[in-house]
Amino acid sequence: MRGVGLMRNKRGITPVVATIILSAVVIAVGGAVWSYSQGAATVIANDYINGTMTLLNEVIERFTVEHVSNSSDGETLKVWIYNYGEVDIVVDVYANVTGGAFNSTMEKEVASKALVEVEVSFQADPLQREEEVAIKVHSRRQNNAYYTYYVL
Amino acid sequence: MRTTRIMCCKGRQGVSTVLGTLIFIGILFTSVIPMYLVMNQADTIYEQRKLEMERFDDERSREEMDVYVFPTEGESSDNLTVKVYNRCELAVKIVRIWINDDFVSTDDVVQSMTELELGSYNVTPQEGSEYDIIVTTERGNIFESGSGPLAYQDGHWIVENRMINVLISAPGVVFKIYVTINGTDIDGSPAQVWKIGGSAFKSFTVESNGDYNVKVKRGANIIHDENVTMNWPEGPPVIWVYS
Repeated sequence: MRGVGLMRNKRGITPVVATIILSAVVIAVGGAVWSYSQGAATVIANDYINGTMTLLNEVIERFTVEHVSNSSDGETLKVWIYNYGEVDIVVDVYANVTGGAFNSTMEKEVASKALVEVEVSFQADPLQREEEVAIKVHSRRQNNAYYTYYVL
Repeated sequence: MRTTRIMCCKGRQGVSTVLGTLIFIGILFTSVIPMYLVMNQADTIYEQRKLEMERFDDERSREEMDVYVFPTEGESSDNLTVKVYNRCELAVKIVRIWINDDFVSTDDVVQSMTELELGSYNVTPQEGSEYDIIVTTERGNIFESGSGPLAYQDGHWIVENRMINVLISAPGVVFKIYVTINGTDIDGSPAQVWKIGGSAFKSFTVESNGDYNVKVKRGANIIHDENVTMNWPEGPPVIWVYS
């Protein structure tokens, strides 16, 4: 009977200790999961926002080839690009003469609402009168503007 | 005694569950829901801006302007006046006027269905030269002179053609257009036109300055009667009549 009473008393301590340990484990693991999930949620949200804003800038980008001319010796093609959108853009200009030379000018910045003149060099193979030039303006956000020019 | 012990044990067994639940709810409210709200906000901004740009593109496509150019002080003038007529429902802001490869920046606003004279602009004309005039709007549209390029020859300005253009948007399908000077039909008048779709268009070349009468008939009814004056080079070489 005495022994049974002792056992009962000992058994009484174990559940309390077990509960404390279990609670401590739950708090420790839960805290770690909480902390990790907060960090992960922040990273995921930031990535999502950045992705959405990048896509948004691509969608709202607007520009056009406003005017084209050439130098009298045909060695330079001048392309005026008008950015009528609300975001600044970076463009590459490609000029392709029908059945002839192909030249380009890379990485020209055009601020929002600004007009920028871009020169494409044709020094190696000057443009000839009445030649047809296909012009493609490609933005770094993957939008394009096209223009066909007849050399004057 | 037995009953009390069981209750005591049941209470202790629930502590971790309660803590776990609280942590789960904490994670839900401090991480998952704010993340969802931020993502939702980004989507809303995206959709809103996209809608704004769609509206902008629609407005851009609606811009419609007639551009005419004529020498400011008679046929041997060094200055050119640009006349624009805004034919759309929106006010249009003109940002640049190109004369060949040179441009002049402006910020003139042409209200809907009104005319505005811009300039004059000095061009110092060269004998045998041609002058192309282009107008750029803030929305990125480019409008060329409706009368084509102006040429300077023998000390005065010349245009390719003097024209009266008639545009019919009134209801109906078949119309007859009469253009007369002093009661006499000009070459090509009367002309019968069919309106298929939005509007019918007919252009008449006129040989001389003067007062012209333009009548548009649908069947036996006169639906438009207007007198116009061709006064090149003191006025534009192209006159538009809208019915």
